Amino acid sequence: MIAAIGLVVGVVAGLVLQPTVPVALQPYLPIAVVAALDALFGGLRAKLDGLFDDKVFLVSFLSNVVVAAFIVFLGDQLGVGAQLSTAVVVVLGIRIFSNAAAIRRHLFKA
Amino acid sequence: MTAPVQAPRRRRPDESMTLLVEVMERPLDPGYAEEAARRAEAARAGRPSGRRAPAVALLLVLAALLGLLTVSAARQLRAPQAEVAAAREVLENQIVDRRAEVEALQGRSVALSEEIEALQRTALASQDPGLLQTLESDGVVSGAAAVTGPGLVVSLSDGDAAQAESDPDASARVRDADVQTVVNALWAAGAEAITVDDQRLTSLSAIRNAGDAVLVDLVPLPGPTYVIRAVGDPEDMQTAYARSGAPAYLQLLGSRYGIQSSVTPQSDLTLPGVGNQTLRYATASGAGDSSQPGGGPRATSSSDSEEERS
Repeated sequence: MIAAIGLVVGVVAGLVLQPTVPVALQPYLPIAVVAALDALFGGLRAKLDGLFDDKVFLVSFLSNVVVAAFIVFLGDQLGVGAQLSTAVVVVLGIRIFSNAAAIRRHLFKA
Repeated sequence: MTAPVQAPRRRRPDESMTLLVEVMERPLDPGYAEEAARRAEAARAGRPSGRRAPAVALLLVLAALLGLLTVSAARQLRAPQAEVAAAREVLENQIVDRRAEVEALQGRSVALSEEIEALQRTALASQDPGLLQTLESDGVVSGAAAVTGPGLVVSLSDGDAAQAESDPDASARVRDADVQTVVNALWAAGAEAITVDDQRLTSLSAIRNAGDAVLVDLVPLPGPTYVIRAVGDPEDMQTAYARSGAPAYLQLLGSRYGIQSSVTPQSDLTLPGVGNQTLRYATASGAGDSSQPGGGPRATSSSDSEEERS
């Protein structure tokens, strides 16, 4: 509940204040957004499974975003940024899909 | 995951793919299950499971921060990026500028080669009229000099299917081989000089495809109509051209792909020259020995250069 309220507050603040992301961070934004989506779907599924916990959700959210961005950063430094981005997107994409499938089973019982 | 192993563990058949299995089978963070178990245990033990106020505040702030971050990232990614557009515009301007520069330089090159030619002509007219004549005929054949005279105009147009708005048919386009067939037939029919869409063909010209565009000497032709002008005796050329394989080929293109073609004689054609070409190969000319293949007019006049490569 706290997490949901906090997220809504943050989203509204983001829409109202319209902060700009520093240029140095911009290469990591797409991956960070995908990681955030993964955490959101995971949280939604946990909620439907009755396992949801604010702390776990927020920590997994934060670590997802940070680790995904870090992997891309590391890849950029090593010259394999594009490939590592693909790897991260593939892994997160599979997770999003399976979580979305679980959510679908919960909601539609099908 | 260092749970004590009681029974001798059976190896999974897909053990080598644990990473993929992990991703596929357990998309939910295991932390959720652990936390739920911990809560259940706390409830069983009768401990209060609620969080203290500072922890709640911290989680709230963290959640707000993450929401803010995600939204601003998404907004940033969605916004049309002004920098990209600006960079694009700069590049476009550069292309236009450079193109103008190239055109100016080309104009200058043409003017200078005309000047050289004029000087050569005046110098040679008095000293060696025979050489001058050779030079002039070489210039026509090699494509260096502009040519005026009667000739034939062959035009090829893409079929209607290639210009269809939806699902254009690429095979209805005029391709390099089609233009090559016509050009070769014209050469064989006795053409002295040929242009394709105002690109003069020289002894080193190439007609080829790049993607859907036909390129002559690396210059893409706009299409959909390709006009091939050939200077030469119109009547002889028409007869010889009609005897060649090209008309039948074009008829086939017309019936199968809808590519339209026409052949018309014209009494006055002006084909531009390409100016002096880069000298790639030259040998010392013996007495009276004239033209060298591939060499421009100057190849024969430079008697001291044994061999030159650019």
